[in-house]
Amino acid sequence: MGGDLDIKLIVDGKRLDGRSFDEFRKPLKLEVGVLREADGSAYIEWGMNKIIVGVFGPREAIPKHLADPDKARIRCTYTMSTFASLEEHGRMGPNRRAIEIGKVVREALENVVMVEKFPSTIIDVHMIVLQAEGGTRVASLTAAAAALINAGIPMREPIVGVAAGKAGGEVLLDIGKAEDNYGQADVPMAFTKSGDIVLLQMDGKLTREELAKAIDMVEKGSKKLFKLQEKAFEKEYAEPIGRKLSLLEEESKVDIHSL
Amino acid sequence: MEKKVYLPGDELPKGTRYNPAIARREGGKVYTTVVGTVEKGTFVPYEMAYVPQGGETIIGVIYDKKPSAYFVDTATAYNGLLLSRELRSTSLDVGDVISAKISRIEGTDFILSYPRVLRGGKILRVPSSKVPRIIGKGASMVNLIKELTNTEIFVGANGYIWIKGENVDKAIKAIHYIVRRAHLHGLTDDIKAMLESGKKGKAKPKREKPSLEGQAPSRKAQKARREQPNEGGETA
Repeated sequence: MGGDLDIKLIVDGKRLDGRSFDEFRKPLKLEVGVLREADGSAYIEWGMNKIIVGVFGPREAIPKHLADPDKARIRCTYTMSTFASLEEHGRMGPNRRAIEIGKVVREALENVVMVEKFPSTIIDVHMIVLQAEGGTRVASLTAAAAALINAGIPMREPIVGVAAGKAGGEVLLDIGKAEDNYGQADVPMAFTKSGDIVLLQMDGKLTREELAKAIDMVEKGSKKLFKLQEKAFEKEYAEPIGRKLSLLEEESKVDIHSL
Repeated sequence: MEKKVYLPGDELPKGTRYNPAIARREGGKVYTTVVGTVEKGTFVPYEMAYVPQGGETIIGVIYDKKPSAYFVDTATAYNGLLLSRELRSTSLDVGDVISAKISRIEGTDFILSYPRVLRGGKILRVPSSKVPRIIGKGASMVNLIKELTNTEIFVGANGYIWIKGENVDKAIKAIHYIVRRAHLHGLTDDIKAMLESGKKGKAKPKREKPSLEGQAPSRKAQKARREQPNEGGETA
């Protein structure tokens, strides 16, 4: 958070990248079933964010003490790749921020995944940020929910996340890196399809009214993300699964011996 | 879109048959919990995590050995446990492949019985949700592959498949083909064309074989040959 800096983030009623206040970044793309070996997977491109998620399980809980005899555990790992953004991230690994994001995503997912169906097991959700431009936790969560559906893990309903925030004195939807770093507030949120909030964090300061406005904005915006999710699954099951992957032997167009 | 894709939480139309493991009832309405579609009044899942049922036959690999029992890897959240007394005379080694029946489920263990040792061959793993499609209606699909590739195939409900015989690689290819198109129609004909085209004529370099993509029947033809979706379940 930059607090009240002199940096102009709103010019002539438009944001720095020309968006209006309640507009998403572009491109906004979601694809499911992108990994061959994972039980479920998803890839999201959201502005300059590029995140890939793989889901494994339900599988045997290792180490054993993690097993809960009443329900499945969800284990979320969030990793920012070393080349994800301009700042140096050094080694990929569980730092303070990654652990926090893993925790909040897990808690959001626990609301909708029917964990009681798979006692003593574990569901692994691995999120890797290939490229970051602000709002990666909500983008990861959106992709993670899609990957869980793709893995066939029973869920009550899907969830999506999007961040609102405040920059230049205005409440904005889907804040980008500059607005996050130099703005006044960042409010990541996640909604279920029926409109329940499953994630709400706030960094910075907002008045009551501004927060109410932000929540409204995100609720409206999340409808668009649910559409995106639907489209991704429609596309996945309209054609053979895995066609887009050249990894698969039968459909790879390039034969190494002909090169 | 010709088929509506149902996502978790979508309401199923009234009167749809469904498997209670992949839908939930709330306030007189039925909601899906996995992604799938409705075909001929039945909710058919596209993806489904493995939920074991007693009495299924699975395939596993022995990974540990104790005087009284063998531990079997089943590629699921469950460990297979095969008591030595179930085996009459043979003894098994680590790495051996067996097929066995789940006689009961205890916690996260499968208690296995009626073991059958599968010697030699290859084993591959597919998502367990695709197993019904690989077996086909009345085992038609797997029998077709067996016949055309001259192999012996065992399909475990857990998604392990054991293959042994003449054209093992071809059979594996056919199975991969099914896995990726499990949600499409007219697979039996595709597989037939795929395996028979390789049978006739001289052996040509691989990449010159006619591509199957071009020969795939039209959407309409596929629709006409629509197969019966999976059986069983309740009615919404």
